[in-house]
Amino acid sequence: MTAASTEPTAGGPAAPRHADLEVGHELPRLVVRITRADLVRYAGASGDFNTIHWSDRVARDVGLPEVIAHGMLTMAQAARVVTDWAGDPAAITEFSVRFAKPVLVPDDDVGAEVVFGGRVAALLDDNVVRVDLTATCDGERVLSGARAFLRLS
Amino acid sequence: MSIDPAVVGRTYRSPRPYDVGREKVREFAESIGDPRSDYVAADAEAPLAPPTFAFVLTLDGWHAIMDDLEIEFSRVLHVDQRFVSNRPIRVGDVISGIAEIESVRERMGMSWLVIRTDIRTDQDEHVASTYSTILVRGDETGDATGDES
Repeated sequence: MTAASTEPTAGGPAAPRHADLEVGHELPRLVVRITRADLVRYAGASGDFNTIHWSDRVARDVGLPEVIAHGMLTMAQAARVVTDWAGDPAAITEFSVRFAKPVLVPDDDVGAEVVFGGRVAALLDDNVVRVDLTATCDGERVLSGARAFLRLS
Repeated sequence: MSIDPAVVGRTYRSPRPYDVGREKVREFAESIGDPRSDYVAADAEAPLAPPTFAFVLTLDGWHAIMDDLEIEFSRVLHVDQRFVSNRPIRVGDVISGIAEIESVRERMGMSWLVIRTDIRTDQDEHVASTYSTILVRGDETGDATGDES
């Protein structure tokens, strides 16, 4: 890692330019594994200590099969598809998702696997690009209507 | 439970200004598995916070609303989330969230709330707004998202 550099794209692939893009362009996929330990860590870092993200007992009490991942953790990981591609996190001007289905995280060492993808859905004025994102777990969509708007150079 | 629609328009300000710290941003970036140099570079004067970091401020508002309306957090499900940014949050920013209940609806025995949170600096610069829909399950409908229809 080029941790000493503050240049967002230093050493990485060239940042995408609005003029070079076409609708339908696919962003590199991202595969993420989420374990209970990741949920504990995210709870502490974000301040979201909702019991349904760490107690099976409470999760079942409110009608869930077991502990579920924080939707905001899934959303943060989806953002990575966009920022890894664009090179500059500051390019994101708008980002929205709907949590279509909870990501169930079993109490084992394997956890849940979520596969993220993205494609350029629209090229707009002022160098703005709309990217539509997908996230699936066990073949089912866990995010719907996920989209980010980015201002590129 | 049902929520009185009269609460629409109530606002809640962060209990204290939030000082965005370098190690907090690093901790958050690592917790989402994304310690990219923009967020964690030791020599950067003001590293960026990840795009969803604003949710830390949003949560303050949720907690104030849950306290006010006597909602148990474990009965809350996050339905959707949107961020609109004027600029990224950076280390060194001193920011506050001002949350407002934008709407309340009752559907399928559950309450649906839309909460908007404006994030502003201590210089009153508007940094970002977040929009959340949350669902509050009733006490009696423990399996509200189960097989019942």
